[in-house]
Amino acid sequence: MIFSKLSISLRIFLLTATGLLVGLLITGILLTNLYSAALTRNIDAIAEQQLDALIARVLAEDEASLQTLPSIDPRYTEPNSGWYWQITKKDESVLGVSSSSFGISIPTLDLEYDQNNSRKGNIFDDDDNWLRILERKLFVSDDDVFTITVTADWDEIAADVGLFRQQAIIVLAFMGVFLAILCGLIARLSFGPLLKLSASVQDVRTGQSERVEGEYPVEIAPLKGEINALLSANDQILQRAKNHVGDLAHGLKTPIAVMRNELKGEGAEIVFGQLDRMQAIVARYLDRAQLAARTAIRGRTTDLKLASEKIAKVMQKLNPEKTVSLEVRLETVDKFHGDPEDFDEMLGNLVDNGMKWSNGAVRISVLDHTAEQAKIVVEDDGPGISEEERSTILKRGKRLDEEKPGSGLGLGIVSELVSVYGGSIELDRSDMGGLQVSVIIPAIKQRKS
Amino acid sequence: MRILVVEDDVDLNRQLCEALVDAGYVVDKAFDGEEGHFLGDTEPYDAVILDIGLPVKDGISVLEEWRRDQRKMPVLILTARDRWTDKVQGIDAGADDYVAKPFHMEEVLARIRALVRRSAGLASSEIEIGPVRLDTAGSKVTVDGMAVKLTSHEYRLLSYMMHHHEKVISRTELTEHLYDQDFDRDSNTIEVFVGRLRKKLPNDFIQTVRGLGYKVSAT
Repeated sequence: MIFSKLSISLRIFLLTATGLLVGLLITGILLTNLYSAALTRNIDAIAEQQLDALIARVLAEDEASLQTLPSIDPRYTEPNSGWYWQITKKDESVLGVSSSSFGISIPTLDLEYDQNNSRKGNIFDDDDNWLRILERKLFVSDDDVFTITVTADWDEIAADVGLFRQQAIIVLAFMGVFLAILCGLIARLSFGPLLKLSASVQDVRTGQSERVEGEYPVEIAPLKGEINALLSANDQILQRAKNHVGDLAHGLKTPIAVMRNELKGEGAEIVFGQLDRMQAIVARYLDRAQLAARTAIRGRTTDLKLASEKIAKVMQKLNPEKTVSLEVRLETVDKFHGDPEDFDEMLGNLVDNGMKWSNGAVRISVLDHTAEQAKIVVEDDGPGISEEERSTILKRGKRLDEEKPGSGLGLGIVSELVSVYGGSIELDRSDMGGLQVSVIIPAIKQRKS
Repeated sequence: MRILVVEDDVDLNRQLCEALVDAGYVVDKAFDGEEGHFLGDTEPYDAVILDIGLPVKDGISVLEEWRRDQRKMPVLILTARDRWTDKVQGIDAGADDYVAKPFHMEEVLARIRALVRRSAGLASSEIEIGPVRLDTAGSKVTVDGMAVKLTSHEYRLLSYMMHHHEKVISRTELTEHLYDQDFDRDSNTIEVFVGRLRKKLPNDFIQTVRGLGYKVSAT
């Protein structure tokens, strides 16, 4: 159905327009008919008057009075006015005629007489003038039967009604157009807030905002509240699921630590091996919990500047004898399109890794890459790594130097996170001498709210 | 050097305390956040090992309250949550370093050593004053390159004084930092130990500042 695809505003407009067209057409016809009827009554009244006046004279049976028959309306004296009268006898001889009708033959109506011996109707005369004819037969005696005919100018009425119809069409057409536009406007105004709501929900999905924002009319304000409640309920469910797995995994860490510290003597090696396995399982399930929460990432965003400043500050505090420098140059984007914890995890591990290898300085650069990507570069002044080592270092659990503290998972975690976000990671030699890790991650420019 | 261990797991707490005592520290312990907070608030510690997940009051709150009350001792947090967001939260609350569980005891000891050293304003793990050299990592003392045998008590005393060299250290301060809270504090024992220590070190290395205490200086 094409109709089902039309916008509600357009449907309202089309339905209203159709309704208005029919309604106004009927109104126009009705008005014209009423006006026409009123005019007919009016001229009929004048013609009746004339008819009555003539009948009065005929009934007087006075030859003298028949010599000067009255014309009560001046139009009966005006030649060719269409307003005529005549009196004929039974033998069709003319007894009297109006001064306006010299040389004009009044056509005969093809109608039956009613019970008052009257008949009336419209007819064209020989000159194609449209006449209104009122006629009455007067039976004075068997021989004296008079036919009195009075006419009025029907062309005048028709022209008048035509003009009225024309004007009515113009006025009603204007009214129709005005009402249709008004309906369209009302529909637009009414659905405006819905469109705004939909745009706001879209903003949440694309990460422009965390909640549905804005003022809405009472009819849809509850919908906004419900959507926001749904969003936070969803967040809570995810958070809870994540926390349960997290609590389980974290809860196991203390007992593992205790066992590890307590082990001495014979058989310790075997137990250490089993503890390592347990620890690996714990780590894997923690990862899965994080990943499960991440697949449902909605509109989470992270302020690149604030988040990197925080990491830089913490890194400086943890490594007071080294220098962490941070440069933020952002124009096309300002937010990482993803979870703040994941950003902390990526940058934290990158800088931590740089710290482990550096001789004294680590440099962080937060730059815009494209309109939808940011680039994070972490460099150190350490020894750097060779080409062959670069490919293995990104694999989880690989460590190039067992003597450096830490689990050796740092860059592996970063590499995994970056791929989850559809970004890319690149290793290079820094002009500071050591390793340069460049990470490209999705980013957006937050609209000013 | 006196360390406070706040850890609710009884076994882990014991293991930490044993390892610290073995490494020559004096240790106080607490098993919940409230007790830990009280001890840290009232006793002078050279470092604190603080678990984050504690009963009664969590570690982050304890730490924040200490810092609000201008308690500036170095704090090492122990946490099972090893995501960077958790670490950042701990450091923001005022921690100086963190160790993620499960940890190697050596790592905790190394970090505590570094924290104590850093809070004394020293850059290296070895402190050298005149002919005396103290290796905090190996708990060894040499004079002009020759190893000197010290008892753990003597080592602790010397280590504290060398970490705070060029400063006058009162007997009370020494007692507070060298004995745990249950020790019967009699400052005479300090004098006995200082006397023994002096015999093993160059003359005038430990000077007596009359009425105030002792001072270690390079002269």
